[in-house]
Amino acid sequence: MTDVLIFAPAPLLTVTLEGDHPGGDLHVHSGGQGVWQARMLRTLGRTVAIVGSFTGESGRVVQHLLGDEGIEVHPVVRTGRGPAYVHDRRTGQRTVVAELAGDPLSRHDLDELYAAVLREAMAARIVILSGPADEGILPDDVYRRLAADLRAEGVPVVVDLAGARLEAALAGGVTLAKVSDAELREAREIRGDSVDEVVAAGRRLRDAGARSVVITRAGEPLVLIDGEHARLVRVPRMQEVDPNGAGDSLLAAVVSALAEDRSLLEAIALGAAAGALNVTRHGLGTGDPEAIHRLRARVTVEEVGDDDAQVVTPDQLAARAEVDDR
Amino acid sequence: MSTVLITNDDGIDSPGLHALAAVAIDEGLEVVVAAPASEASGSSASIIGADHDGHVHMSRREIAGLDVPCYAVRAAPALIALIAAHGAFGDVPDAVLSGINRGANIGHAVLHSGTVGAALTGGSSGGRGLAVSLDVGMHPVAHEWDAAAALARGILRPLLAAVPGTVLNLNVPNRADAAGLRPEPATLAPFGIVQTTAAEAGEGGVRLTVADLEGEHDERSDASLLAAGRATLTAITAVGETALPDGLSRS
Ligand SMILES: Nc1ncnc2c1ncn2[C@@H]1O[C@H](COP(=O)(O)OP(=O)(O)OP(=O)(O)O)[C@@H](O)[C@H]1O
Ligand SMILES: [Mg+2]
Repeated sequence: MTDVLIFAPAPLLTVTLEGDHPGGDLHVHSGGQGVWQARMLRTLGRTVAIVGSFTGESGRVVQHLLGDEGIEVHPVVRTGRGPAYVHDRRTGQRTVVAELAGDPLSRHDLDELYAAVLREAMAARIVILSGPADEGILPDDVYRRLAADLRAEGVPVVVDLAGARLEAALAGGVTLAKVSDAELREAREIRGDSVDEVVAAGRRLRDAGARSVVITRAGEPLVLIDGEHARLVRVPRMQEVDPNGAGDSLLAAVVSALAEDRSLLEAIALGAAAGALNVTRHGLGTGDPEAIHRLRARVTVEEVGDDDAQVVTPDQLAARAEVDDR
Repeated sequence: MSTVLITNDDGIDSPGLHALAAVAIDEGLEVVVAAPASEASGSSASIIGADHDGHVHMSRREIAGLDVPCYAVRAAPALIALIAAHGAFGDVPDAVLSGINRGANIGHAVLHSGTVGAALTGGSSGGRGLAVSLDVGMHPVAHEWDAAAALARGILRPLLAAVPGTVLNLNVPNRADAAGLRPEPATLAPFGIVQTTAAEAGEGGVRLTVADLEGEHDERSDASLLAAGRATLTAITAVGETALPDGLSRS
């Protein structure tokens, strides 16, 4: 039995130049959303399996790197160009040398991936569906079918997707959906940043097909919609060294706790602590379980009240006009 | 020294009223607090309130932290502003400060707002007016009265220096850091948002908000700016005359 199965359709090869002395250091890693989540889950002590496509030379390297990190890999191996990037960080900031999207998955590759996910999910406690880094690698509808089929198998499904992929996954039905307020703003689901708006958007996502919804808002308290409950989860605000990957840390910690049969609220609280800790240090997908648990003690949860308020439009008010019998 | 009347339409017990009074006192103004004894949201510029004996009844109140005269008046806020302008509470106020209201008052719907009605009455009676509203929305986790009051404080001196008749409508997002915002000039949305009273006074009914933001696309409007988390400031006018339509005008 594996704790967590991650669908990572196209893991990346990442090459990064670092260091300020001449020449610098060369770092070669596997990457992409699902991989960062897998790494974090390993740090938290979970067993992790990845189903993904591994393409060409870079794919072979990525597959080995994942294996070395103790991640079980169920590869769909193919020829062609795999996704990769080369970044130069020797100046202190990230300069893109090359970013390669990789070849789209063929119908045959997709069928194989699909079958591997369903097969491996039978042996996992929980499944994460993650997205590829680039558009056009696979059709959005795969997420709808996967979500529906996995749930039919009785496996909890967690998604960290946005836009059309999220919509597709919700149409299939998921256990937990995680989005950020920035993604909702991009999708025009919200305009401002009020708790009201975010809660309303979260309820719409729930109604579209999620048992629970987490909306992260960077340093602001995150919103959890769990059935009829709306909650604000607050963690002490941290000075940001590197805000990237906070969402992945959060999701991994949440899934880690769920795989250990913790309650959703407890899982989200741990996730908030992991996200907060992540912004205080460099490096994606790293975390210190000790520190996360210590920070967890300072996470507070409050119910978002309804305040007995009603909002009506003038039209609705007109429709409420009533003649009472005397 | 300038004299100001602090009133509102949520009633004398509203913490928003107390926060507004506190910053006016800190600003060194001569302050009188006179507010409806009970909720009067949506009362516009109504002058309902005289009792069957033809008198306007009120009682003195002690409000913690406010070392100024305070009155709970059995009248709509515009009536309070009107009698204040005629000496009912001592010196005639140079400005009526109305709020801080629980809920936004934006767009042309401010016509119906008791908060704004009192401020307009201040302006129409030879003084000035400022309406302040906190956009608490449907699910407030906290009410940032003090932050909104601190923001409003920055407007008091410019208001008092402005020509009599000046009336301003300030709306503040419900954020702990609202005091650091800079109020942005805003136009009135086509309808907007206004608060009203849903039940008879004191019965603890729901808070009823009338809102219509459909067709609201102007980025400079109070509705758009407030939705984007900004504080909005609009100079407004009360009743005035305009040209008769063609065919009814005599040249
Ligand atoms: N400055 C901060 N202080 C404290 N916690 C933070 C801060 N920034 C982020 N977090 C934590 O991390 C979580 C996720 O942050 P965020 O909303 O930025 O995710 P995201 O946009 O999905 O991240 P990314 O896409 O970069 O991985 C937040 O809900 C919060 O718990
Ligand atoms: Mg009111």
